[in-house]
Amino acid sequence: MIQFFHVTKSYRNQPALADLSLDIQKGEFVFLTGPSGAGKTTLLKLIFCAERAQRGQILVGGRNVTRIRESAIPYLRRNVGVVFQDFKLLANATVAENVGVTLEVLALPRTEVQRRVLAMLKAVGLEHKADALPPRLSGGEQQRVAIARALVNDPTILLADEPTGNLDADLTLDILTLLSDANARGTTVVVATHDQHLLAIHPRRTVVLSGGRAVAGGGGITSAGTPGDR
Amino acid sequence: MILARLSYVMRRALRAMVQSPFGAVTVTLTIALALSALGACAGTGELVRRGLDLWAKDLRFSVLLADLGEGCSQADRDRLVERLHLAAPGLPPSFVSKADALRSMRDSFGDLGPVLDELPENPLRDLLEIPSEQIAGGRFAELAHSLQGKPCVADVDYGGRWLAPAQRMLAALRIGLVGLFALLVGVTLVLVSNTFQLAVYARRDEIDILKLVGATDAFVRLPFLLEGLLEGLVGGGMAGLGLALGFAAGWPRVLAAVPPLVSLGLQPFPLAQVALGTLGLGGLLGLIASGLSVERFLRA
Repeated sequence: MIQFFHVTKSYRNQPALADLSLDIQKGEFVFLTGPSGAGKTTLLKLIFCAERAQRGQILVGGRNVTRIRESAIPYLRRNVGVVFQDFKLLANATVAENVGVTLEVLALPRTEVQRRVLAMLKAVGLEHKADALPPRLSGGEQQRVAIARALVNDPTILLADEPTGNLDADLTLDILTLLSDANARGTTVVVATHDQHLLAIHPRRTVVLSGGRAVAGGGGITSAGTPGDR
Repeated sequence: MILARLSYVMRRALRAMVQSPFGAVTVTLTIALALSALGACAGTGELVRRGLDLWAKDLRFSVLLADLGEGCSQADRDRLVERLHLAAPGLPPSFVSKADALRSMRDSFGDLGPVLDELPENPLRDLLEIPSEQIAGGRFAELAHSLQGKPCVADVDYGGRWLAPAQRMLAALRIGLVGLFALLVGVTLVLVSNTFQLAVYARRDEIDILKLVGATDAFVRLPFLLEGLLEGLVGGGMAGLGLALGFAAGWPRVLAAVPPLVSLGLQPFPLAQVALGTLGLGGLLGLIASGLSVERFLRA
């Protein structure tokens, strides 16, 4: 589903990813972990084309995104849900509107948008908060709204960057459950985290990044281009 | 699908205007003020042009004739008529006897007309008249010069003496007005565009989120364009309404202050055209300004 081949990405000559190769299968649940600056966020950004690699090739759903045209990026993103640590919600739009924005982009009829939004909010346990504004929600609720927004159009891939970074242990478990449910429905889930507790309570394949390289768990292709551990 | 998109774009544009009333009001008022000034200039320019046209239509090129016998025969007069007709094709020159000229003058004096009856003799001359508009290119001076010294020509009189310079002045004024118009449009565009830039910048998070969930640039752009269009139309409408009220109040006073305007039959300020113009230009200004701002942001 997601393949990195000898990918290099630098910021002002500082390598964020160095000759990284990685293979994530369809339907997998993968943790990316490593210290701050290891390249976890950069890796996610390369997948949804918020950044461009300087070298190497990246295939997402069989499509080489290193050569993708600017105008094609929105269509790629409609199949990739993204969740951030800081939620990135529209403060002056209701919870339902925040979730619905993903469907509005697809120009679905309003009734269909409302139907799917309500179903999604029910799935994340927030149907009673549909008309609330995000600043009035707790951190855990806001993150659930962000996850609902990312999942409401049934993306094939879900990327989550430190999704539990601002949450306490109970809420972390809730969020992890939501991500696991999405994965159970067939969505490929990639979670960047440095929270070792998360890895311990939900053991899944873990790719360890350090200095922009996959030092463990690269799978299929390691940074050196040979089969790695799973 | 198109309806769904339009409905979403409309909702977002209206919401943005409600949530950022300061920006919306600033843009609307800037456009309204600029277009009021532009509309007033354009309308006044149009009035002056119409006035000049009406004046030009009323003007006559007159050849004052020497009396018969003073080195002037009827044959000379007939040749002069032919010469004038050749120089100014169209209706043949009309002959006005000095008796008719005096009668006409008496009538135009109104109550004071009988004073002319006291004159010992008619001081006027017979004359030949042609409408000034028949003289191609307004070459009055040229024609007058060519007639000087010819038999039967005592003098030449043409109100068009002032028409050509007035028309030249109007042409120059029009160029100046076009320049001023362009300058004002440019300044308005910069001001409105900068205000929109602030609005776009204030909504950068929203734009980022939209792009994150797969919105195309067109999808991001449309609500801003619609917002610009609506604010521009409101601004243009306000300018049109302001001009309408201003001229409704001012026009009777202008007519009272300048009575010749009444006798010229000058139509009032071309309000309908100006109001439509301000409305259209307002919408266009808003559209271009918002388009420039959002484009600058998307390309950054």
